[in-house]
Amino acid sequence: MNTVNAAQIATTHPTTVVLDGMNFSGRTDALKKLLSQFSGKRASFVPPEVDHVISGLGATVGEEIQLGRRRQKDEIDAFTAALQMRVSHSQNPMTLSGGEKVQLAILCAYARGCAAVALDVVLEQLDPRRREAAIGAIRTMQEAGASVFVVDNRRSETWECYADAQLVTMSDGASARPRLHTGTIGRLSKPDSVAEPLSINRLRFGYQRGQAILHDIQVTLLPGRVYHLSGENGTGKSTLAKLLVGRLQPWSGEIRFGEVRSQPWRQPGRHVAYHFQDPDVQLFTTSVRSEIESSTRQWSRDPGTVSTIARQFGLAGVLGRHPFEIDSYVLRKRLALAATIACSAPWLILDEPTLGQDDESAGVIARIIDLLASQGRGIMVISHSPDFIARLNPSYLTLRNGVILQRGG
Amino acid sequence: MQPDKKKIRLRVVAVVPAGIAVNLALGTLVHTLKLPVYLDAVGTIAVTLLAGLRAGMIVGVASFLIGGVTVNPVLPWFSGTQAVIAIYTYFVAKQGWLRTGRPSSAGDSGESSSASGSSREWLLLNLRPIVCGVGLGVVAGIVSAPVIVALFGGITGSGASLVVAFLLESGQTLFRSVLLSGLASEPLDKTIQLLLAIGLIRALPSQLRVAFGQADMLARNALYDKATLHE
Amino acid sequence: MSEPSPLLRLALFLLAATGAILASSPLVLGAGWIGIAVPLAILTGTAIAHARFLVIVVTPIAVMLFVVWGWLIGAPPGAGHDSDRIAGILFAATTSLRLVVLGAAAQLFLLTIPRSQLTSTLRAWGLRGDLLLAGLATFVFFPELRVRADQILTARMARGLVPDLRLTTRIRQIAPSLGLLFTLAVRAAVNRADHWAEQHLFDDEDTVVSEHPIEYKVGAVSAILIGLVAIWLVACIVSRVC
Repeated sequence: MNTVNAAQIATTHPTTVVLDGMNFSGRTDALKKLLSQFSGKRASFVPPEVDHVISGLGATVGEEIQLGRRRQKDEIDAFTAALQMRVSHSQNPMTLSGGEKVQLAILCAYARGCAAVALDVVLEQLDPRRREAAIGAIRTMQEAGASVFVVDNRRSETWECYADAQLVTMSDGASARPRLHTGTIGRLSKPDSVAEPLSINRLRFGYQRGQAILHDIQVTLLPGRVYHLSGENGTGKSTLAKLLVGRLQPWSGEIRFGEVRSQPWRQPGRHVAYHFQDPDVQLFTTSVRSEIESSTRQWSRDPGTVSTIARQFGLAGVLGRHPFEIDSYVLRKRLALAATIACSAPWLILDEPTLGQDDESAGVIARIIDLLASQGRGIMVISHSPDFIARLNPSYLTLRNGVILQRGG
Repeated sequence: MQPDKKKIRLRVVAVVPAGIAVNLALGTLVHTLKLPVYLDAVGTIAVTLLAGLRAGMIVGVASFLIGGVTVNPVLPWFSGTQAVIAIYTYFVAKQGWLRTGRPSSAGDSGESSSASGSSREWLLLNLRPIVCGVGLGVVAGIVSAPVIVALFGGITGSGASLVVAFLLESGQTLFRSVLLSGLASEPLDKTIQLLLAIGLIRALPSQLRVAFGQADMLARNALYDKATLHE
Repeated sequence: MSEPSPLLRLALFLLAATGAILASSPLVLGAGWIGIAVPLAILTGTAIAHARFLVIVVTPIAVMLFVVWGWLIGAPPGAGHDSDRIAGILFAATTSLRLVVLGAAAQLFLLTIPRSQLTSTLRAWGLRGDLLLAGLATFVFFPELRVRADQILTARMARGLVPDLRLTTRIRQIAPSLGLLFTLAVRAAVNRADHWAEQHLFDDEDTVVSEHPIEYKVGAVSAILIGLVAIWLVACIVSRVC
């Protein structure tokens, strides 16, 4: 595998370096080698599993920021504003959304006076507006004396924000790379799994009595189409998904699949499968094979089915491995996505299905979604990547103030 | 201090909450479901195996101190039992007496196997850890008895209390009734807990099992095999 | 300025618990519970937690105590069968009320520690270094555990692995969910610890500090609590001696 020599990438510090390239081209290893130049000083490696850099010692966001703080309060306040981070200091860090945790991780690295910070595919967990703000904050970190190294699969969407950053393209170790299959897509889910139209009528729900998050959800979704669901943090996107899956029971309103009124909370997952943003909470077994099998056994006894799906998602080389023995976030994300798609539920909700995936892989995932829709399934996608959304040519749903606004694609 | 020793030390600190959480979660669950077991030391046993005696004792004692505030205020008085559980687990693990096995049809890597699976084969393959579990129950029963007598008047509200009542009726002293009742119920509970803890460790990927510096002890109990570790 | 201080909380809890263990009269225990513990529970907002403790933990024990010592044996421990039924009932009452008061003391003095004072409280109680870290990490971990457990259950439902909500189906979720929860927790522990090391967070002492340093005072609230516990302790000692 050809890799760029990390010692040659940045000769003067502080600096900002963006590592470009495909998945498995050595970018993560390069980030770690770059950070190793700062041994003896504070450094922060922020992986896509951003939970791992929340210290677990701060009972509140405020305490988390205080931990090991070296910068002054006014500097931290200014940086928080630059990040456009709007989180209460009394909130438990573990209850933040993924994007908020990314912001907190960046803020803490700044507050602790880290000499170097590496961000490994975390910026794509932010919506475009906050992604731009984070890149601006990276400039502030550099001005304060820190070097920042970034791997960003969505660089093309925000490249103009990376002013003065060095761009280094990592070479591709093509033959060893576990790629998504780019040829004809095989059978990935239950044959004849045709969805019925999904009608949501006057759905109302909140976590506390008297405080509804979803006020009057009224929408009809048709199978064979792709819908993009957008909305700011806290507007209730994942709550809506949980209602459709059957994890939660609405206060009022109805959900219909075709003509039949459904009560999903009585038979969870029967009509709607949901792929989480975080893959790791969806990996229940001790091997990749059995993980995929847990979904496929609902409709197929053919062992070739698992192999087909594994090959499609570039997992053929790790079938016998424990999911958490796979260091690569990219592969675990693909595994979780594959296992969800392989479910027999006709409707799919996919939350950030391309997190961590390079451009080519995101393109293949878009083709897979198109194929599933053409086979009659109903698909709802949540994503912060404008490029990926454009590839899907979806109908647009916006969740705002507890209602859904719809416009065609 | 060497960097790797420092990392292991910090990892051991960081894993303590996981053990405490397992103790409290399982213990509360079985209590709510009114099951005839306690299952409140699975975390203690698991962390002792993963991270050593000191960590296991901290998990055990802290579980019951914290549980005393958040779950059941009588738990702290049994912290001594938790400490003893950790000590016993560490001792038997050091001897390598916790090797478990599955009948050959299960296909678990690295385990001895003979004929096709059957209950009898499973029992034979797991005889030593089962005996260790029984021993742990005996020890736990002996250590808990004085606390139950002094604080509870012999009655803890569990099914074992019925045995105590029966023994009292038959003329046994309070202490002997509590002791015998404990010796009747604890071995099964502690055996289940021991096997559950080993099961939790088996659910971990190999590289995580040895992240806390106890590779030797785990290997002695067939919970770690370098040959199965993928580079 | 805040009160009571962590050391005073601990001292009050230990003194109240000591009194409960020493007391040999159900009247003293009952009076302490009704006259001191219950009003304080209402004032501090722990009444519901206390009621839950009474119903779930104490009631089954109390019922069995009365059945065993008040009826089946008909005498307290050490006395002959059916030799003194009244004493047996009193023994059952004393033991039950002792449990009630021990529980109330833990809930009143320890459950009421504000989250924002957790760090300073553990420090004041003498936890340092690794023990302080482990203590803090534990309290922070529980909310994370609840979030994770919910995510895992939702994820299993969302893959069709929880086909209905029958009790047996829900019980079958425990093993795979617990396995994943434990794996995620252990994995997070390793990664977090490595991150602490990478950031040299614990090379210095006093890295773990409260956001706002807390000053404690001994004011009216502390004085009242000290007075109440002192009266309680004296009454317990007297009941023991007399």
